[in-house]
Amino acid sequence: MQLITRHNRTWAAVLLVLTALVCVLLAQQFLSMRVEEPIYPGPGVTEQRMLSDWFPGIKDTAADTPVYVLQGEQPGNSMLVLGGTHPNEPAGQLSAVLLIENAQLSVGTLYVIPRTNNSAFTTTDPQEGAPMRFTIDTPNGERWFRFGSRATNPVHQWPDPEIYVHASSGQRLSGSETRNINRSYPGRPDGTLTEKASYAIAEMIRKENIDITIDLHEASPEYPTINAVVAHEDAMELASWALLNMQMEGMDIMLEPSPKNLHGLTHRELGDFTDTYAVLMETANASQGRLRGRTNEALVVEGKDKFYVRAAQYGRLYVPFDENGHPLNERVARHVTGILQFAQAYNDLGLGAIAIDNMPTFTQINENGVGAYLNAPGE
Amino acid sequence: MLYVYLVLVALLIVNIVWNMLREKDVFVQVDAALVLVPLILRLLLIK
Ligand SMILES: [Zn+2]
Repeated sequence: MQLITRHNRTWAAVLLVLTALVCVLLAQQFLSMRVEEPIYPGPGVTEQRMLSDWFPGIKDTAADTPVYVLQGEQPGNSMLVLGGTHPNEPAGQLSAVLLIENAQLSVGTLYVIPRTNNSAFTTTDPQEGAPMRFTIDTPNGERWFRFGSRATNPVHQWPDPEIYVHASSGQRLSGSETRNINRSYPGRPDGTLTEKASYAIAEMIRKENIDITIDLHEASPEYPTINAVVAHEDAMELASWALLNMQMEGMDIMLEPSPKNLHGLTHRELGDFTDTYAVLMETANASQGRLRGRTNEALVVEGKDKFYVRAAQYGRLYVPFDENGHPLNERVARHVTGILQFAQAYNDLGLGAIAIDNMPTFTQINENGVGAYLNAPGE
Repeated sequence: MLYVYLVLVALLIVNIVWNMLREKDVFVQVDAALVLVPLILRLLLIK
């Protein structure tokens, strides 16, 4: 059936006005993702810098991101914590924020980047139906955080090539991985925006002589590398020691060596191209999994999903998964405990000295919730 | 490279609007309007 009218120009005008209206409404929603969630640094933060301080090539771009410095009373060794490498893995960012708002260093220096791929926080992944934000209750009000994309916003780096060739190794991956910061290390000063960001992080590690780098991630419950530490071969002894202590705290976790032929990842390239001990941690996040049901804020925060319960019954998962799921509280507790145990292991093995104080324990975060350790809005 | 692609997007938008104004079938005009939305948002580097 065709509705042919002489007034087709009138129709066109009406439709163009409607199109403009839809564009304005959508633009408002999409642009709201560029508003940054507030972070309220605690007394341990001695300086707030920008990543571009170490590589000016990202200044005034979407890749530039805050670096919180917690300098101890006594000199010592240093650690870098990378949260938000993948903004659809919220435990990473939230654990970094918990450090910024609570940690105090008595010995050494802690550097925390809560939004490692800052651009990726400004969009969500297409066709995932993921929420744009989630909220955490604190005793004094709600705090909100963005649930972003796995990769740099295409608006900031576009177009993708058909095949992404990793610069220093020649490894070939699918084109969209060109925006995945954890496939771009050690980065290039004249590369894509994503490569510039990872180059800036490598430069920071080299210039500040950062001794330990911990990259915080989450994985789908059906993904084999989960509830795990992945360590560069130079960091294996440190990781084994830290792992034993984590297990003694009641955390079920395993250790995997960083594959030598998997390029662009922190635990491979930062270990190869800098002197840091490079490790990565994974927890179980149902909201990024392929088997999940309804994808909403509750799934992100509470981590409960009936389809994952069933998948676990069929023996298809690499983590236990029951009706209680894996809430954000538990996942952040794991990351925070891991970070503290890496510092402890570094001291225990006589490699140097770094002391991170005033952090809640595994049990405390699990029982009281992350919100109990987040500062109130306006604090 | 980005600017080359933006010019292509702009040309596509002009072309679609041009054809929309000359189109007699209103349903094809609606199709054109739908196609315009993502193109406009990308041209403005919003999405
Ligand atoms: Zn990840």
